[in-house]
Amino acid sequence: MSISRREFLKLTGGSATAAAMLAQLGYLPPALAQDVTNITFGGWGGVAEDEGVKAAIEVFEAENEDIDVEWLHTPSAGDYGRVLLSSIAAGTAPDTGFILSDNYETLAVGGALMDITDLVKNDPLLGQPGYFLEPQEANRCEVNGRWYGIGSTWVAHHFYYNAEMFEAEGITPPGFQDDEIWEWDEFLEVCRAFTKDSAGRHPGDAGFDSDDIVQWGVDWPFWWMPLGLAAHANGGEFLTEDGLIGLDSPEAMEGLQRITDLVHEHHVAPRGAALASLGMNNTQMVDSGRLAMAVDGSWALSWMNPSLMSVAMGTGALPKMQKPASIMQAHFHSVLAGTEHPEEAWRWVRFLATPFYQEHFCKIGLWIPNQQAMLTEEGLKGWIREGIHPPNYSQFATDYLPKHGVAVAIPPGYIEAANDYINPAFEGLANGERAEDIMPDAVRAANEVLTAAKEDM
Amino acid sequence: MGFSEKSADFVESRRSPKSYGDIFFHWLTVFLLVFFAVVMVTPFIWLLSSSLKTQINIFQYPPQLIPDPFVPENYVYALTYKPFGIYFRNTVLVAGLNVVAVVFTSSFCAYGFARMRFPGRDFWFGIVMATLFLPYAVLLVPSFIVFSRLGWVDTFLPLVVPPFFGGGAFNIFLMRQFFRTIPEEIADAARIDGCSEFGVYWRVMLPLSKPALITIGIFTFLFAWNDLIGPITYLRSPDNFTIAVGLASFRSQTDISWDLQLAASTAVTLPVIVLFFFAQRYFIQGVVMTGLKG
Amino acid sequence: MSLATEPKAAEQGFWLIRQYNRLTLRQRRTLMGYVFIAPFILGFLFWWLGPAAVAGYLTFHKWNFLAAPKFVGMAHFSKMVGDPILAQSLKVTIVFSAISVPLSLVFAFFLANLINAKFRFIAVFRTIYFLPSIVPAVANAILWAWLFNTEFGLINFVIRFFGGPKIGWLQDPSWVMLAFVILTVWGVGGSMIIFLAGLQGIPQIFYEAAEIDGAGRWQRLLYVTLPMMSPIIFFNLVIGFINSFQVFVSALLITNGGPQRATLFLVLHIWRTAFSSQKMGYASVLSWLLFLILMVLSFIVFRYIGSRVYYENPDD
Repeated sequence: MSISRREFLKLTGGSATAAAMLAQLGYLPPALAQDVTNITFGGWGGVAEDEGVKAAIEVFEAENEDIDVEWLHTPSAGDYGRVLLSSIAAGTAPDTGFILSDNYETLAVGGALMDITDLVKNDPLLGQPGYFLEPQEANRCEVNGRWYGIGSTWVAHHFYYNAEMFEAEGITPPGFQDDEIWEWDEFLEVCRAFTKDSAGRHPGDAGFDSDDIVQWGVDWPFWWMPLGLAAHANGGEFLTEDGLIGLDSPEAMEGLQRITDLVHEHHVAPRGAALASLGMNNTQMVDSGRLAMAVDGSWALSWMNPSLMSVAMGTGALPKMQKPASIMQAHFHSVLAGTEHPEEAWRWVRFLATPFYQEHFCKIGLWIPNQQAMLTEEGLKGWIREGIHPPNYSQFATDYLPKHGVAVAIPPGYIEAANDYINPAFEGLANGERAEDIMPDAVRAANEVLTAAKEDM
Repeated sequence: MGFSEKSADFVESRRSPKSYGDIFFHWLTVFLLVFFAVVMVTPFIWLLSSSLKTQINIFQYPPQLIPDPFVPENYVYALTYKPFGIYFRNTVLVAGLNVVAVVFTSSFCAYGFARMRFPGRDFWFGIVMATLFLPYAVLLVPSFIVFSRLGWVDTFLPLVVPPFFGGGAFNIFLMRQFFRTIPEEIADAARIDGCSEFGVYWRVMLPLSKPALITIGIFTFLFAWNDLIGPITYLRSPDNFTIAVGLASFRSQTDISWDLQLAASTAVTLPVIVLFFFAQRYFIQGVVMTGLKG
Repeated sequence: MSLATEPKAAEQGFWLIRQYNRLTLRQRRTLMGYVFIAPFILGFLFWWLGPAAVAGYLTFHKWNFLAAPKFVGMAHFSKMVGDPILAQSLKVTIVFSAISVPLSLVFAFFLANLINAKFRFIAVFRTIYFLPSIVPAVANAILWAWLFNTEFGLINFVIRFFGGPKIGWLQDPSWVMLAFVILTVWGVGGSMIIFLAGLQGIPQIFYEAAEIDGAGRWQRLLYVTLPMMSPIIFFNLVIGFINSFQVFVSALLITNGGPQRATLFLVLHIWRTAFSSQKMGYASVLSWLLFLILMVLSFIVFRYIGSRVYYENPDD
């Protein structure tokens, strides 16, 4: 079939008009300037993350005029994970993106992420020994000895407490220095002192009604970070050296049992405040004096902070059982293996591992630096803010975490093992079942999943 | 709403009640109507009240009904934080096209299934039902790959084109059931007057099915308005986002700005409430009026 | 294409008309029937068949989205037989369906009759009754998580006010199913509106005739409303159980399948198998299992209940 010249012009003219109309409707990207490389950056986040990324892009583009970064913002992390998998399957993955810590290894081993080991090691800044907090950074980034991403930050659990309640009871709150960390029994005594039923009786008093408590000592949530750290604090392990779940060792189970006992044995913690993801959070309970201490992640400082709470508040380390411990993790920034612009993509990911981007989030209480330079006296000035960070907070980043922080590398298959076996077991603990009754079976089944996933790789 | 003597005219009866039984029945209905209205409206009142609170007061116990402090700024911040004007335009475009597509093509297909007799009809109706049996989860990625290959990702096309092909099994089945409640004599009378099958569908069946058409129109609009999975999967540029995506952006992995989330949720719900309020009037103008003429 | 082909096209058009005129009445009806259902058939071929075929292909393959699918033969099917998580999710789904479908159906029918009454301000009442279905799912989830909260929820507040116990609605595996049934029944606005639209279609004259014959309220419901509404009741029944088998968004948002797998609905399990565990092949097998279950159930419902439905144009 031959097409006459006139018809050809009509066709092309028509499609040009159509293209213009479509562009008008926002269907087509605007034409690119010739010498600028456009790279995409996928990620999730709420208001804070969205604004932080936009600010970072602005600074980066001003410094790198040959690169245009397009922020593809999928609101929730769960949806982002699904969209990322779909687009990898369709061959349309972004050039760079956030990677959740729980499937970082899966994606790395599966070939979805670019190997950046040499780029990191040879980088004049990032390659310097001691640039990152080590060995924690290497622990999480290395998969079979290679780097496929750089950690965005660190987050870990600690206490948030109502300082006015402590003052009223004449109790000294815990701090982050080794000699300010409570022994477990000390902690229990404090919890009992704060817990009251409506008649003002404490647990252990005659006639104490555990169904009618109006004020609690502590809220300790039942999910993997706060429970996993209990295993470490009692001398056990959440994840073992060979990437299996270690929550069935006697030490780990005893650690878990201590948390369950807070609710069901000692009656010093509320039931059912665990639905943090749906807003039944502890913030309001601490603020209104119904709860003396909340165990929560460091990110919660972005809303549980002196300027947003109506009562005086403070932060401190969790009690030790055998030793102090808190689990550290966070998402990664990676270059996707399918990118056509590996060099530009690396420059952007590298920029995200320099102080500007991290400071933005540290300043609002959401993040804790993973860069040593930000932990020096000079570096702290860049992000510690009065009104957000309580006076002792910098010690959590400079003293506590380097000594007692446990960085975990989450193995392939973990999400399935957690959904199918470990989370239901945690819910059993929350309901008062005994760790020794439910953990061994759950861990065995979960480790079968992990072993199979490892064999698949 | 009080139950004084004055409120007797609250009950608008066609005839005056005849017996004690009738009077009892009227007041029982009024009581139940109000009782369930309270049950049904409570969540919305909670939503409205919470949307005017500070983050920290939302989960206060016992709950406050009247916010103190009263924070209407939540609305200002929530609706200006993201370009909700653009989202609104996008969503109205997507939802509007979906409604047009579904109302016409599902009734068109349903007419074939309900009113025509031909070999293979029941087989194809079985296929219609079968498309409801496979969960969305398993079709999502293959569909995404299809639309990627077509180059439709980051356009509205994956969201608005498929509905034009029959409008979905739910709507076809619903319209089929409604068409089958309409007496055959009405259609036969039109055929005798020289109407073609298209004429019977267009001039007889559609006007007689207004309540059903309004129903699927409302459902389709509501679905498109609140759908998050479709837009989040297929849309990339912020300029193409819909309201549901904008709403979801108040949640992060660790923190949810409840005050803003609830203010935005309330604000985007209002247009649908108004729409429903006006659309429901058509529920009294179906067969009741026109059907008896036929 | 050049101008020279145009007469040919017109000729072809005439040819089509001639062919149509040659058809018997029966053949014409068949043709018209297919014209009417053509949009669905095309949509089925374009948008459904391909992805469904992929889902069929994947039942014999392992696929984690990252690498090419790997053939595993019948491995997924034998895994399915002894899968305790699958057994649990089937149990949860069937129990939920068996309780919530009849309850929702009766409640929606009852509410529809209530808002079908001719009262002043009925438009306001109808709008209020439909509100639960309008509010976005996320806002709904927050609301219910709060209502059901053990320590601070409104529901336990009311129960304890009357001297009842403190119930762990969303923590206690033996109560959480009831919580889900309550929130499902409360959200019946959709079926209610369908019933309302159906009630509007019943000619008033039938009621008047029944009244003249001395039929009471109960008899009018039994002999006029129910038979006239049977196609709509049938629709809500069928859609009700299909939807109850596919429910998962509220479980994903409120309990994420817990506590202790008590709300692990089948489709939530499929969703997580696909997108969290990255086992698309096994998720496909589970999806076809659901397909099979719904097909058998639908067949039974259409065969044994569908035959009792009263249609104005009985042709089966």
